[in-house]
Amino acid sequence: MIFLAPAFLAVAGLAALVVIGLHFVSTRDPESDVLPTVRFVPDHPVRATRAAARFQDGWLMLLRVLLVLLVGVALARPQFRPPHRTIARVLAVDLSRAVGNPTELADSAGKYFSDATAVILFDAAGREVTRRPGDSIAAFATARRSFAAPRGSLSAALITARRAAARLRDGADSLELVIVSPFAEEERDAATIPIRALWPGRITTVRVSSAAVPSSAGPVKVEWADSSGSVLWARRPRPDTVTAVRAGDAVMVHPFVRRWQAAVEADSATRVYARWVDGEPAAFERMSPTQCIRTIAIPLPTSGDALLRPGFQRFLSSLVAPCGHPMALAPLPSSFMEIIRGIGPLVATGSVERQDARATPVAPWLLGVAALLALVEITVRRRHATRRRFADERSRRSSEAA
Amino acid sequence: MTLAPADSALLDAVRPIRWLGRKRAPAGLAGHHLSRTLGVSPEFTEYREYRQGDDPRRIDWKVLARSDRAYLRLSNDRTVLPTVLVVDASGSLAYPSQTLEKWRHARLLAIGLAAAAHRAGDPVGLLVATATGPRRLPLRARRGTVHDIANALADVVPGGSPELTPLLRVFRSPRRVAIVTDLLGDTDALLKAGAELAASGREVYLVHLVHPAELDPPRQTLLLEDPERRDLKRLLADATRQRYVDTFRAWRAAQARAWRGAGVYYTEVVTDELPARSVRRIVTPTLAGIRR
Repeated sequence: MIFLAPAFLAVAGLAALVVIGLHFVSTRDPESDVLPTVRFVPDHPVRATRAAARFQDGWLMLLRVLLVLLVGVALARPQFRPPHRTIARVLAVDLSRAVGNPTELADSAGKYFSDATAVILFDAAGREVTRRPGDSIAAFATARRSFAAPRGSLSAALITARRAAARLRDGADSLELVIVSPFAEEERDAATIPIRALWPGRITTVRVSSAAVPSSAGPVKVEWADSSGSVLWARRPRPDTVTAVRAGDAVMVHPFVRRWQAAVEADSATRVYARWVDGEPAAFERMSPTQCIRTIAIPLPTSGDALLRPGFQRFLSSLVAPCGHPMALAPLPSSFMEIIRGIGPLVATGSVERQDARATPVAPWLLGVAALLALVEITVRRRHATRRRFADERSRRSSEAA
Repeated sequence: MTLAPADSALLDAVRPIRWLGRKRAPAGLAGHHLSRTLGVSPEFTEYREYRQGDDPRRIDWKVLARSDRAYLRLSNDRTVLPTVLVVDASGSLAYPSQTLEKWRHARLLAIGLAAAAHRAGDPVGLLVATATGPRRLPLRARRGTVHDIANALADVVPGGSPELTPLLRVFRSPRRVAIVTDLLGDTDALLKAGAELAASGREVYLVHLVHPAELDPPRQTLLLEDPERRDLKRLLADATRQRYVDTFRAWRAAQARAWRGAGVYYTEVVTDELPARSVRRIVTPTLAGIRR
């Protein structure tokens, strides 16, 4: 077990010593007696408690010391040291729409599963999976039949891999990153190279075949909810006014009168293409075996200044844009791949910063036990006080009876 | 009922003491105390010229025969002083709680005073202010009165905060009232009532009981509690001890001045004094006010 903030251990130790010391220093109230002329004693505060070096309340002290130490250990952020390895492998598997053959992807990734210390599945975002990553890939293969898979992002994969490396640094000497991906053109962005530079070593890349551009991509058939009588829309009981609508990357700000509301929910065959500013669907896109149909429930203005705005033209273009996202599935050039792969040795774990901000899984349990001990301490303290009060009362009565 | 050994010893010690009145008493039954009126007893005192209205039978005929002047032969009249003992049995007398020394001393003083008064031929009565109400023995001059008083006091357990003042108005006839108290109760009202009694011609004695521990409390830090008011707690420490002693001394001096100024015979009695000696101090005018 290692501690990410060992200073708290020292503080807790000191606090425990103080607690023990305080239990040896006990205060004693003065003895009480009866005096008929007590009214002539001046009534002003006088400190009468006396300190005595006498150990008392052993169980209470034990509880308090345990409580302080538990809190200290929890704040010191303990972590169980994983089994030490020479090389910790981080496997990043691409599940984006750029993957052409999921079976090939599973086969390629399967070669590295057994030795992988951490498995990352990524598309537009990366996520580290801890249980049966093969199931995720199988699920991807099923979902891949639709066009709902998002675009991939190498940047997201690299960032997630870097987080995993920070966690694994204490259990290995070196870190290896393996990326299984088609490395399509659309998966890189402006941040990919700077993020790659943050990985201080070489990367193993395994390229799988990329998908072909779907045949559905092409001219779209546009239907209007007002005229088509589509089952996707139902007339709104009371039309309202919405100030903006977004379709793709284009936004139109205009006082639209909204007369339709969605009658279905998006599924694998139907996706929301445009949304009103309040989040409600404004246009659906459905893929039929023969063509792509876009049903729009946006009452476009037919006159006025809005027609003259450049934004309106862009919005209009996006409404009639080809179905599906624009896909750039061409492989990344070899020069870019060389940058991704890099040169040199594997990443030395010492060069990876420890992830300090991450909460340790043991800490909440320790704090929970500490809270439980605090409750027990309150109970024991009250019981001690009650017992002491009874003892005082008994001694007072016995002295009075004598 | 037989007396306790301490009571018997006290009665033996006060046997020669007679509690004589300090003032001339109004005319009454024949007794040992000088009366305000001059009577016709054989003990000659003086002559007075005959005035119209005097009983001619009191004219000294021999003087008339010798001097041809009519004189009356006067003599001192002696009467009794009905005495009531008012004893405080409040919680402050139950001190120390282990020995009740203060209460025992108060009880012995009452018995001793009763014996001294009874020996002078006076009827003696008793009123005890207890937490359960006043206890009363009527004025009696017969034999066994002192024993009755001793036995009545033996049954009393001091406690609570009973008031003494109402007891001073229970008996109308007494010519002498002796109050045995520590003055830690209804002091002001008691002083007022005592002053009224003294102003009406009665002899009022106040026996102020003080315990040595009250004069010189223990030299240790103590959380002290009032036996009559449990909520009154004060801390007696080195810093407050001397101020307590000074305050208590000043209060006692003020009480002595106030009672004496009201015409009351005030005597302070510390409980470490022999009870018989205390009784002698109280009843003897020359010794009153002298502690030992």
